[in-house]
Parts: sequence; C-alpha cells; structure tokens
Amino acid sequence: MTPVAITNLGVSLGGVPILRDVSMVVEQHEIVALLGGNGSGKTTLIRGLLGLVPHDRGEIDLFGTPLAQFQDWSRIGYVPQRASVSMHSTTVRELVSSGTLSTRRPFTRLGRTRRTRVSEVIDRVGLAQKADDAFVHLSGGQQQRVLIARALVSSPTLLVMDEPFAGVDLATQQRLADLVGSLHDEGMSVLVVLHETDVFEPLLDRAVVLREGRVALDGVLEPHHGHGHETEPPGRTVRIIEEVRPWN
Amino acid sequence: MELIALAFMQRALIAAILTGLVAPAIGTYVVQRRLSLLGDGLGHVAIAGVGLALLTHSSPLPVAVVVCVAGAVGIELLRERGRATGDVALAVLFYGGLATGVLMAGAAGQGAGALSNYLFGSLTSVTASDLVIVAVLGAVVLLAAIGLAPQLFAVCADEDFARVLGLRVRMYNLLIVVLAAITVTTAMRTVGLLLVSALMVIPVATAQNLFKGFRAGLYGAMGIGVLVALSGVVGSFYADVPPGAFIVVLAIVAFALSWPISSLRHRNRPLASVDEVESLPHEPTPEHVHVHGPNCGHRVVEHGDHVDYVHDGHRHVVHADHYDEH
Repeated sequence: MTPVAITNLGVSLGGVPILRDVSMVVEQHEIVALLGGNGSGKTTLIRGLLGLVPHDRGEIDLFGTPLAQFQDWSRIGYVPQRASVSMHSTTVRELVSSGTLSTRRPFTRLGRTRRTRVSEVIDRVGLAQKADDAFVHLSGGQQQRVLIARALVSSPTLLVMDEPFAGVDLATQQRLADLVGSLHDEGMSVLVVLHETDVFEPLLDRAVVLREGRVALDGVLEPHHGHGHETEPPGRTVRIIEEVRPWN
Repeated sequence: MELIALAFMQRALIAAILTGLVAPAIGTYVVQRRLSLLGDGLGHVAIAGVGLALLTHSSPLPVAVVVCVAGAVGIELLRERGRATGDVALAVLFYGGLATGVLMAGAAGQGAGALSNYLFGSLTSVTASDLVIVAVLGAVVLLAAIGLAPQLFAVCADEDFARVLGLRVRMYNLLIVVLAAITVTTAMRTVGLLLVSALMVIPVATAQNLFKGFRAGLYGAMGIGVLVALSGVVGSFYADVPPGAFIVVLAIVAFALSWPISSLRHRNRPLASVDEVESLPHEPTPEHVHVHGPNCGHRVVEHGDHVDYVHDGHRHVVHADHYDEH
C-alpha cells in the first residue's frame, strides 16, 4: 500500500497560499527527498500531510486511507526539526518513551515490553550510554538521533524527517545517513526534507523539488558515482536524469 | 508544639500539604507550556467568584471554583484563536475579574478589605467543609497530573509530535488550564489568589535546578512545594503574617539556594564525553603552544557535554596532552 499519496494539494496559512496544486507520492520502500529553497513550502507540505496544518484543497492518503479517517499513527515515525522540543530538562529515555503513546491508553504503565523497546531504539541510534542524560546537554547530532529513536519506538514503516541535518556536522550527517540506510534495508519508506542532498544522495531513490509552493521537479536521481565528479562538487546539486513529472 | 493542638491550625496544615503537592504538580505543565502567568490571571478571575459568593451569601470556595474553571475554558479558547487578539482579551478578562470581584464585594457591604483573606491566604479561615473540597479537588488534580503524566508531558514537550502520535492535543491543553483553575481556587485559603501562581512556578524552577529529568523534576517540585507550604504556614503562625507571603518568600529562598547547586553540578560534568570523541575523526591540532582555559580570551562554544575553544576560525577541544579539531 502506498504510504503517501498527495493529489492537487493546496495549503494556505493566514490567507496566504503556501502550497498550490501539489501532487506527489512516496511508494513503499522508497527514500524520497523533498528539496527546495527557503520558503518553498517543504515544511508546510510535511506538516500538511501529517494533518498539523489544514489544507484547503486536494487529497492526502496515508497508507490508502484519507487523512481525516487515518488512525493508525504508529505506522508513521515523525522526526521534526530539533527546535520543536521545548522541554529541555527531560532525559533521553523520557523523551524517547513518549513515542510509545500512539498505542498506549491513558492511565496505563509503560510495561516491560515497551520499556525494552525504548532501550532497544536508544541503543540502535548509538546513545545507550546517554540514555539517562538530559536532552539539553547533548550535541546537535545526538539530539537528532534522540528524535529518530523517538520516532522508531512504534516500529513505523514510514519515516518523515524534517531537515535532520540542520546544524549537524558532516561526520554526524554521515552517521545519520548510515542509520537511515540501514532502516531502509529493513523495509522502511522515508520522506526527508533536505536543504542539500549531500551525504544522503547515495540513498535517495527520488527527489521532489518545490519552488514557490509548486512541484518544480519530481525525478529519479542519477546513480551515485562516489566522489569522482570533476565538474561539480558532489552533493551540491540534484542531478535528475529521468523526469517523472514535468514543470507544473 | 502547641499549634498542632489548635483545630484551625490542623486544618491549615492539611490544606498547606495539599496545596504544596498540587500547585507544583500542575505547575510543571503550566511552566512547560510557557503559561507561567496563567495562574496569576486565573487568580484574578477567581476573585470575581469570591465577590459573587459574598454578594449571594454563598460559600466562596465552590463559587470561585466554578467561575475560575469557566474563565479558564474561555482563556484557552481565546488562546487557540490567535495570540494577537488573545493578548488583549486576556487582559480584559483578568482585570475584569479583579474589578468585578471588588465591585461585588463592595456591593455586599464587605469592602475590599474582606477580600484580603482570599488574596494572601488566612490561617483561621479554612473551614472543615473547605478542607473536604480542597482534598477532593486536590486528589482529582493529582490523579490527572500524575496518571496522565506521559500524555501531558508529550503535549508540553513537543505538541506537533504529540499530534502525530494521534493524541487529542486540544483536550489535553484544555485539561491543563482547567486543572490550573481548580488548583488556583483551592489554594486561595493558604497561599491566596494573588500569590498562588508563585507556588505553581517557583518550586518547578527550583526542581529543574536540582533534579535531572521530567519525572524527577515533577516529584521534586511537589516535595519542595510541601516543604515551603508547611514551613510557611508554621512561620506565619508565629510571625502573625498572612501565610501566602511567608510561603512565597520561602519558595524564593529555596530557588535562590538551588542556583549555586545547579552551577556546581554543571561544573563537575566531565570535559569530553567518550561517546562523542569516538564518533568524531581524531584530528589533533598541529603545534599548539597556547594553553586554553576559562579566561584565555578565546570564545568558548558549548559542544555536547564539553566546550570547544574558537581559535583562528577552528574549534579546539582538550584531549589528553594536546588539542583536537572539532
């Protein structure tokens, strides 16, 4: 079942149209990058498809179910921008544990199975030794890994990431990309908002480029050739060889 | 301790324990939602309830609870609609509450002076029926604040993520302000309506300095709340001053004491974390004769749980007997 199918989406914020007639899909087991300059509507598209901002027009289907009827939120792992976490006194384990709430009823305890799962995903992102540290005392890359762990707790099959590389150094970007790569190997579909394709490039199946709220390009990326490019620095531009969708 | 033998003091002490537990418990969420002054505003709204009770010759506490909860729901609905108009609307609601409270108390022939027992607390005014209401409502607030802690935590920590989890964020936001309204009114006999907000906010800030983690902070704040509320009530008995003032001054003293403890803890944190250093490629800085230190003049940048020194556009971190590039 197609994890994300968006048809003719229109979103306005405060009366200003942000997205116009956007259509795109994320197929099963695909890693799709959402690219575009500042203000192109990338984050709004992510927020729209998750129902965080209302849309005026178009349809959004998540795993074949219209957004308004979609209930099965444990299938989606959302990794927002780091700045969205406002409770800095929390520990890594507490923050990651909140990922269990999509399947947990109020007034119930965490339970052993979920507790084990929380430890598992913290270990998976390489932060076992930091599990009881305060979130605020971690480096940017480590905080990003915490947010990925939190999204992974419910064993989702679609990961939606909003600029996971913002403010993260290159070595850590590579580690994050490796992590996403190994999740993809296990069957995860990924929609990731990026400023530049950079270290993610070898992993990407497709890129959707937004410009002024419209889909400017939607295409398959040229196979990666390592760092052997001579004419242009690697990872700075998207090289699309097969245009799936022409200019809007 | 002759004060324990006094029936009114027994009631005041029990009310203090309950208020000390409840106010910081809900305050933990209020502070995280950056609504620290909400308690203050709700206190103003509750004054209208007290005025109404005086005018209608009813018991002040239940009337104030109803008026304050209604006000809280109104405030949350205004907040949801948008900040710009909400700001002015909140001011109108808060000062409207205070003014109508004083107006109704005056019309009841009581004058503004009669309100001061409710504004700053009063040891002798806690009746047995008040105590029952305070205990029942306090239990409800505690049950929600502790039982729903994971949900309320998720909503306060990251509202968008909570929505994607499928949590009913709007309902939990409303629950927080309603619980805050109940807390404010039940605290009016001990800390008073004008000072209750301090007991919701200051122990929380103190606990954040002393404890690591959300849950430890929640229980720590409740412990500090009980401690200052009890000490304040006892102190006000001997000093013959309104208990609210004594409680809040003690809370501020505890907060001031927590500062040096917090900064000591941060200073003792290890300079470089093993995990972080291992994850970075080891790149020693060539020929580094300058010794970096707290006052060496180079800009210090926090990096995870250690600091880097900015030196000619590079970032240096101490590693054994040399510096690494970060």
